Amino acid sequence: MCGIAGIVYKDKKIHNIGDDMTKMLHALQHRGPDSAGFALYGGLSLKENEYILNIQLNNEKGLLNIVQDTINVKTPIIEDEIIPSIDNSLIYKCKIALDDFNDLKPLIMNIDNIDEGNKEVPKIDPKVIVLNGSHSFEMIKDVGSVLEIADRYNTRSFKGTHAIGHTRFSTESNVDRYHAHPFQTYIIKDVTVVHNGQITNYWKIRDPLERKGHIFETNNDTECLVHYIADKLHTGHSLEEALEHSVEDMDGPFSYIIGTPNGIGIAKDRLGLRPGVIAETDNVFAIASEEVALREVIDSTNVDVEQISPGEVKVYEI
Amino acid sequence: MVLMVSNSNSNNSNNKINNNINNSNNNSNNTINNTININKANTKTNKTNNEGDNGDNIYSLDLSSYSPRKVNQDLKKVAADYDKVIIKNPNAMHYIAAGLTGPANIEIDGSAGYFVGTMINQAKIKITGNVGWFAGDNMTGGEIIIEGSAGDGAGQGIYDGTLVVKKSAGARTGEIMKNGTIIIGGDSGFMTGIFMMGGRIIVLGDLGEDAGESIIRGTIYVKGNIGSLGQNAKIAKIDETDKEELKSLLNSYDFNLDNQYFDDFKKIVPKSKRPVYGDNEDDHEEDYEEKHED
Repeated sequence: MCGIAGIVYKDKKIHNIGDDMTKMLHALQHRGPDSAGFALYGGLSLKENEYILNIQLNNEKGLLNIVQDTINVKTPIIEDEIIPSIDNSLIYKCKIALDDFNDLKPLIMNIDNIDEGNKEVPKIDPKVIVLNGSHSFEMIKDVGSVLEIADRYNTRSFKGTHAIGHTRFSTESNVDRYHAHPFQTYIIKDVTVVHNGQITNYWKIRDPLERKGHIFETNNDTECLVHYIADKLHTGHSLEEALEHSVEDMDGPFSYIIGTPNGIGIAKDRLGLRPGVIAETDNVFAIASEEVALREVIDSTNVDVEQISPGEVKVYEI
Repeated sequence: MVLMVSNSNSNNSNNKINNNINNSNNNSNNTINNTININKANTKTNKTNNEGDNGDNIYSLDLSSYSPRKVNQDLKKVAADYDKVIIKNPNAMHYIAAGLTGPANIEIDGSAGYFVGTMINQAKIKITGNVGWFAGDNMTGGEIIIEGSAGDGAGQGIYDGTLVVKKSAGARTGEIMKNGTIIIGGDSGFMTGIFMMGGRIIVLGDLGEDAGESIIRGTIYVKGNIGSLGQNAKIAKIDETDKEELKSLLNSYDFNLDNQYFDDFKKIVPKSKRPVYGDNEDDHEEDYEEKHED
C-alpha cells in the first residue's frame, strides 16, 4: 500500500502547490509510513539550458570536492547549497547549464560512478548518488513521515502550477532516499512518476527497454514505469496514449501518476486493485488514492468525487 | 466528568453549538437528564440546539481533531443513549462507526473514508456525502444509507442488513457477501457480486464487466446494461413476485418508482452452486431455479 496524489491548477498561474501537496500527502500518511516525495512543477525560473541536480553523498572527507570537480569538468557550477540530512549523508544541490539535454544523463552517470565500489544494481548505501536532475520541477524525497520531510525541506513554501506526490509503504525494494518516489528518467526532460502497487511482469517490460538503451539503476518496478512512459513519449505518443498502452502492457495491481512539464495523468490496472479518485473544480484538477486527500484541497461536499474505473486513464494538461 | 445535554426543543434562541460540559445552569428549565460519563479532553461538542425537529436528543461530534479510534470509543459510549448522533467534519475519515455492534442512529454530515460501518450489527448510519472502499464490510445487520457514491468493495462480505448507495459504486460491490441487501442507485463497477454466496444486489444503473463472477448463491438485479457476465453467472427471468419485492424495497428508500420501471429488469443468478472450473462449465450446469431453494 502506498499513497499517491496529484494536483493541477488550470489557470497556469503560480499557486501554493507545495502547501497543497504537503496537506494531501499528510492525509495519505496512513498508506505509507516509510518515505515520502514530491515533484513540484512550474515554480523554478531557470534559463532554457539550466538544470538543478540534487546529489546525495556521505560525509567522507573530500568527497564533495570530487563531486564538484566531476561536474566542473563538464560544465561550471552556477550556484550550489548543502542541505543537511538526518543520517550520515548530505544533499548537495547545485545549478548547472548544459546546451544539450542529452549531456545530462552522462554527467549524472559520471557522478554516480565516483563510488567505484558500488556499481552493482541496486546500489546499497552508495557514497554518491544523484537523486534527480530537473529543469522545470523541484524534486524532494526522503525517508520519514510527510511532516518531517515537509519541515526538513520547507516544502510548504514551494510555489508552482502542478505537482505529484507519494507516501511509501515499501514492499519490494530498499527503504532509502534513492528508492523513495517520485522516480525520474532522463530519456526526455522532466517526466516523473509516483506509484501504488506492483508491476508483476517487471522483467518483461524492462528487458526490451534495456535493449533500447535505457539504463536502470534500481530493481524497483516504479523505475520501470517511468522508463516505459518516457519511451512512449519519446517515440511520439501523447501522455494519454502512453498511459493507455501501459494499462495493456503492465500486469499486476497498480495505480500511478505521471508528472510532466505540461500536466499530470493517472492510470489504473485492469482489475482495479489499487484505488484512485478524481475531483475537479473550475480551477483545480486533483487526483489521489483516497478522497481524504482531495478534501484537503477541494471542498468535495460541493464537488462530485469520481472513482477511476479499472483500466481507466485520466490526463489533465495545461 | 458529567456532561449535561439540553433538549432539542429548548427555547434557546441562538443556533450555535453549546458546549455544556459542567454548565447546565443557564438552560436549567430546558435541559433533560441525560448524563454521560465522558472524558472532557475527548469532548469537542455535544448538543446542537434547534436540531431535531421531533424533540430528539441529539449528540453532535465534530471530528476536526479526532482520531478514528477515539471517535469509535466515544460513539460506543453515547450512541445508545441518544436518538441521533450527528458527525460533523468527517473529512473522509476511515473506520467511522467500525465495530459499533449496538443500536445507534448516526448521521455523517459529509464524506466518510474506508470501512465506514464495518461490522455493525444494529446501527443505522446515514452518510450525506461519499464513502471510500469497503463500506459496511462484514456488517451483520443494521442499515447504511449513502447519499453520494461508494468506492470499491461496498458491502464486502456482509452477513445481513441493508446497504444503500444512492449514486454509483466502484468495483467488486458485494464481494463474497453471504446475505443481506445492497442497493446501488447508479452504476456498479467491475466484478459486482464476485464470489457472492447469498443475499441480493440491486443495481438501477449499469453493471460493469464480469458481473457475478464465480457467484454460487444469491441474486443480482439490474435495470441497465450488463458489461459482461462472469464465470458461473447467467441471466434468469424476473417474475412478478420479484418486481413487487423490488418496488416495495426500493420505494421504502425513497426511490419512488412505478410498476413499469421494473419491466426491463434482469436478474443474474448462479449457473451452478458447485462450479467446476477447467472443464466445460455447461456440462455441470444445474437448473438453478429448481435447486437453489435449500
